[in-house]
Amino acid sequence: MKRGYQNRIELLQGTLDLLILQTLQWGPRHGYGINQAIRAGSGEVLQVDTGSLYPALHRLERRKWIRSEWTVSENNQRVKTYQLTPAGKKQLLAERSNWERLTAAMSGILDPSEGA
Amino acid sequence: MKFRRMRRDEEIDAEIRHHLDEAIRDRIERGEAPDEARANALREFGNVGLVKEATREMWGWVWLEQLRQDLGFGLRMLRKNPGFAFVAILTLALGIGANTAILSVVNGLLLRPLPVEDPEQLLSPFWGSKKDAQVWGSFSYANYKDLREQNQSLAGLLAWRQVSAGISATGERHAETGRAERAYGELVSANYFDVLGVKPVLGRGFLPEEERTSNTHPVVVISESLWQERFQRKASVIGQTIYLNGSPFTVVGVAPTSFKGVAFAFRQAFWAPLMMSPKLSFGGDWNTNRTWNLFHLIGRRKPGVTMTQAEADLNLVAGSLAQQHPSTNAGTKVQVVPQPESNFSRFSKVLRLSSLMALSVSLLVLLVACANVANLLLARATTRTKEIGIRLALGAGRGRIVRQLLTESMLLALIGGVLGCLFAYWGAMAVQASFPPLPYPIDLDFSPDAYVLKWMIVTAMLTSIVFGLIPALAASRPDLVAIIKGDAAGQTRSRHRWNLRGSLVVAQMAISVIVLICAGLFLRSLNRAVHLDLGFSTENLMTMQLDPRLLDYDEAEVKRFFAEALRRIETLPGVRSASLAGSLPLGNHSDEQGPMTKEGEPDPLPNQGIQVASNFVAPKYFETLRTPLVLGRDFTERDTKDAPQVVIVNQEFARKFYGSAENALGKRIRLWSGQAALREIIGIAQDGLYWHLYEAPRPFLFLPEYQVYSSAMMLLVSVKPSGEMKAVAENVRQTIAQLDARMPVAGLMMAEANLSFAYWGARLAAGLSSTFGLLGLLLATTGLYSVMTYAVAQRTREIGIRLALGAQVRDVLRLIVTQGVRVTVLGLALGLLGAFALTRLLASLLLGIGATDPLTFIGVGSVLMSAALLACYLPARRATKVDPMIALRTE
Repeated sequence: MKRGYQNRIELLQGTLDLLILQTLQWGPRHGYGINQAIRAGSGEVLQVDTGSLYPALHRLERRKWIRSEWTVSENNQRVKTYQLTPAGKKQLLAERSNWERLTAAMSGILDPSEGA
Repeated sequence: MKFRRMRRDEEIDAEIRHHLDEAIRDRIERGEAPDEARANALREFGNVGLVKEATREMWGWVWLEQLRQDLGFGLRMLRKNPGFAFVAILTLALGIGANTAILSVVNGLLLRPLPVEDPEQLLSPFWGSKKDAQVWGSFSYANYKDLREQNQSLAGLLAWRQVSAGISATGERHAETGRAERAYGELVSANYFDVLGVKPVLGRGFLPEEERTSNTHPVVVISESLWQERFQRKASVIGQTIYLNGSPFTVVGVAPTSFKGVAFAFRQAFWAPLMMSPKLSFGGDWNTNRTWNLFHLIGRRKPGVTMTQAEADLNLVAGSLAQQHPSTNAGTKVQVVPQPESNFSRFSKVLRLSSLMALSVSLLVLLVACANVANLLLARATTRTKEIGIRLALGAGRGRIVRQLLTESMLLALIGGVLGCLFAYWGAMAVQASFPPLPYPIDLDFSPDAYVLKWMIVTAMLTSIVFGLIPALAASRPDLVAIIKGDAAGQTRSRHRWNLRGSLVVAQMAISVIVLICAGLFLRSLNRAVHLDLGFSTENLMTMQLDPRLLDYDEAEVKRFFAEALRRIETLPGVRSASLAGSLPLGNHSDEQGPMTKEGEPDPLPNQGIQVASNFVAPKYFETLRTPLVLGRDFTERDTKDAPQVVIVNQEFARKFYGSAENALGKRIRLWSGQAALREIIGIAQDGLYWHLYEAPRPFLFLPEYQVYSSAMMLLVSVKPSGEMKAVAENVRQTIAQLDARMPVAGLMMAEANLSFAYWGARLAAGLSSTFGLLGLLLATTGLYSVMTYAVAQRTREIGIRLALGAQVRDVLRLIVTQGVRVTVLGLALGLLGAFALTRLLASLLLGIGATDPLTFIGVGSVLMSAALLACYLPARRATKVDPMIALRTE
């Protein structure tokens, strides 16, 4: 059963956090919404595994980078939406610059001619 | 807490439900049929339970909640299977109990530090010749004082000496009120209580001026029990007088009960400044002569100083002393050991080895117990496959299942541990009760303390992992499809499990063989010990302690008293002969004299000479102990200080130094120093055992009591076979009372009881190892039995088919028994090999037999084989009763 998860695209933990924070930059969203936004935003390439998404959301919430709110949807369902906190915005900036350095370094290694 | 947990769970449920609803709605909007949309959304989402679990775990504390759940569940499972729970817990309790009991004893004997401030800082220095690898000598006062004043590494260094004294209410001689009681105490340096950090409950310890001049400050600190006994705990005790050896001492303090002195196992009644040695122990030049090694030392390290640094520092001082006083100190060194290790000095190696042995054996038994419980769990895992399979299918992670199963194991181990503690307490008390009676105030405590409890809990925890992990891993990996189809255990899986259980039984058998062989070796060794020719006989021999100096007798008075007492006792009805000895052979006492030189030989370098084991004896000692003199004559009353100096040696001495007894007789030797008179060898005594049962023939000297003099002697009375022990004992008492009514007679006992200390080790080793051996055998056999029973149950169908096809009862028996025998033979072979490799470690603890004694190996092999055959035969016979029709119908 567990093997099923392993077949999907695995994201590095930090990467998923970055994606979630980035997605929430444009306003509050619920879990499914974040999932869809990442999928659509990546042109269907990235599929976030729910077994990673929800633990990540709760982990970020516990670290106070995002906060949640319960609302009632138009069809009278309780919906939990997440939004970025000021600390989360700072974290997003930090992770972005980390990511940029990482990708620069990676492409430097993978394609040396480009840097030269 | 509970409220919040409910809300969090509900929240996660709601959140995930919303996610699914959204996904389904999206799919329907994209044109999928509702049913299809729902199925696809669920498939895409994955395992709902697992996602919930993983999300919940982000909130910490979950493990605690899970532990509570697991514990509750575990308890319910145990309650549902009381039979299993009972057997498993009892098995573990026996294993853990055996282990904890041994540790309690080792703790009481070897590990427990003195009940003083920061005992781990304490060390015990020893003094001796540089040529010896490990020295265990004590220190002269003069050397002690220099070491104390010149060392840089110790915060304090104290000196002590064990003494006994007669305590009386008055100092009058020859009066009923002057009746003395023998009491034990310590002569100590003035800094004793300060270095140890022991605070008197009343009064004070000693002052520096009480350690300046010899014999000038008769003060004493008494024990709380003496305070209770003699002064009814009155505070007015401070300043009052008690008489020690007939001299007045002023009470200045009372030591707490929790502190019983620094001498191992002794409970002391008093402490006096070592400057009072002339009154209580040795006089003369005791405090200036650097060869009078009277004192043991205990030092307290300064913070940050290691044992090695302290030893180097003390040797720096010892080196400069050797230069200043070459005639006494040349060639000497100091060695330090942690304080608890000093208790047994030269015996500590043997004791440590025996302790290690006993701990390892009990650990092996615990392993056998673990294997048994692991086997039970494996068998049970088969019946629980369905439950576990369903939980896995419902989304429990494998880790979670393993954790659940391990929690159950831990629960078993903890309950077993608590029960084991009870067994351990009984075991430790039994060992304590086996401690031989000694004519001293011994206070040994083997009861489990906090340290032992900690060990027990750690052992139980580790145990639960040892026996729980394999079954848990095996159980959490079932074939889900097979289970859901209703086939409880596929054929291949059961084969795998049989292998696992089979190997556990092999391990059990092997370990039991090793433990049983240890037991066999120790039993045979004890048998040898009991029938050993000691070179003397304790038959109808009575012993008691006499010391006229407790009543302030001087040397001439002591000798007169002894001679007169012996003369009168010899004439008592029923007495065969009587004598005196400094100690009884094998009586846990050892004394060496030296340097010894032959006539004409130059004096050896200081501290380089030959030391010879010795005893002080009165005339008729050899007759009383029935040790034949092979040549020459016995001592007589005429061998006094003024007569020519004489000595009796044993055959080994004669052989080693003169080649033969004939050659040695009449030769002269010199003891102690170049000025001492030469002693003529007037007799050769048959060899015997002197210090312990395991010794090789040892040169030995007997010195005539009336010539060399010691006041603390053991009175030996050999009673005729026709004599009535009780009557003789009473007559001896009265005879001594007639000589001096105040004279304390202590430790009246039969010599056999006195010797029991020598046999204690051998008896204990045999008793413990055979208990463990039988326990191991019992556990291993039940293990084999349960595995065989299980195997028969599994093969019921196969056996049914065989029987239906015409197999004979004999064939079925052979089929099953062969399966068990294969396991047994493998275990037996491994065990014998292991024992062959391991038992040589025991060689130094065995007496008169080799560590690979073939009789023991064969004996143990056949015992185990027969037990195993029985364990296989019973299930096999049940297999032959299988009704083919029923067997075939069950599936």
